[in-house]
Amino acid sequence: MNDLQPLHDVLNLTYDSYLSGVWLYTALAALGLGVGILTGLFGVGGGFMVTPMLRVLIGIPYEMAIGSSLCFIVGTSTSGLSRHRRLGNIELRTILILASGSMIGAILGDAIQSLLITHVAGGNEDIFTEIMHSLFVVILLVTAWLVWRSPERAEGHRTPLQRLRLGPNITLHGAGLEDVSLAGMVGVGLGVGILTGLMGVGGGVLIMPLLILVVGLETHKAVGTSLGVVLLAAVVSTIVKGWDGEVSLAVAGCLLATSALGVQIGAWMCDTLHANKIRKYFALIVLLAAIVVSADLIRVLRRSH
Amino acid sequence: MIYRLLGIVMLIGLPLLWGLGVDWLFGRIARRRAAANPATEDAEA
Repeated sequence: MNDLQPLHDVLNLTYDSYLSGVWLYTALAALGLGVGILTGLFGVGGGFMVTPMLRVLIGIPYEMAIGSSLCFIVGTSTSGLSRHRRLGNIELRTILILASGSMIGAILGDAIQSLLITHVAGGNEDIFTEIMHSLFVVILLVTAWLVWRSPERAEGHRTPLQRLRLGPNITLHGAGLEDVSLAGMVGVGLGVGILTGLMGVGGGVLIMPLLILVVGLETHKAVGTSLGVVLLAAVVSTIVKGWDGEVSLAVAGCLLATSALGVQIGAWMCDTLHANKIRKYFALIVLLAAIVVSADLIRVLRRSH
Repeated sequence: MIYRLLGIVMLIGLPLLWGLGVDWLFGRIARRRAAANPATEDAEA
């Protein structure tokens, strides 16, 4: 058994939470199903919901919730990427350029998280929870706003990365874009990677508008490309956090098992609802998640002061 | 060290395999449905 202890340290098959036994796994399965329905209904990874909900509803410490959410994102983005590859929605050159930034960003995000824990929170779990809750409320509100207004690129206009005078400039043949700033693209990837490593979010909802508005990809290519960028950043983050023992395979496995079914239910619901209504419902669900995290933030603040 | 590396391989490999497996399974179901009912698929397309 002692020989296998390092394996157990990495996989974390047991962990702290509010619940235990069958209730814990039922709650994880329900969360996976709910996130899967959102994914099928709206086509986003749902990482931005998984991390705060694992912390708030199930009581898993933030470091473990972030790591497990990343492991979950590896599974969901692989499935999505495989589907989009067959549909021809992948722009490989864009993925590789953005991922070169996002993979470095993922390592930086992990380092920033460690700094927040040790230097800003001073090792205090409550203060770290307050910081992360605040960041998530901001992310969820920005996400709700982005989804509500649904960005569309104006045809014929140069995108911000085409106007950016920060060379060298490249041509993305697959996307039909010329004179795009390479440094700007790596910078976009870096920003997304930092969010991935710091908060355990795939950033699909944030990358999509960025790829459409800032880089200039058309919507279908943006979906497939964002999945590729997210997958590579999530793999790097999972390795880094797994090495530190901050990923639970049991949590990620439970979420993955039911999310696959949820995606199919969501896709079926998608056919019965109007696109504009789906977007508004999704924004309201994200807003509700922001309210739940805010309520928990107030509870933690009251407890610690 | 070896067990730690094995753990990392499992953390990455199992979700990857799961993702590919799910896509393969539901892709297969969709293709079977399309083969069984081509008229509906044509209308959807």
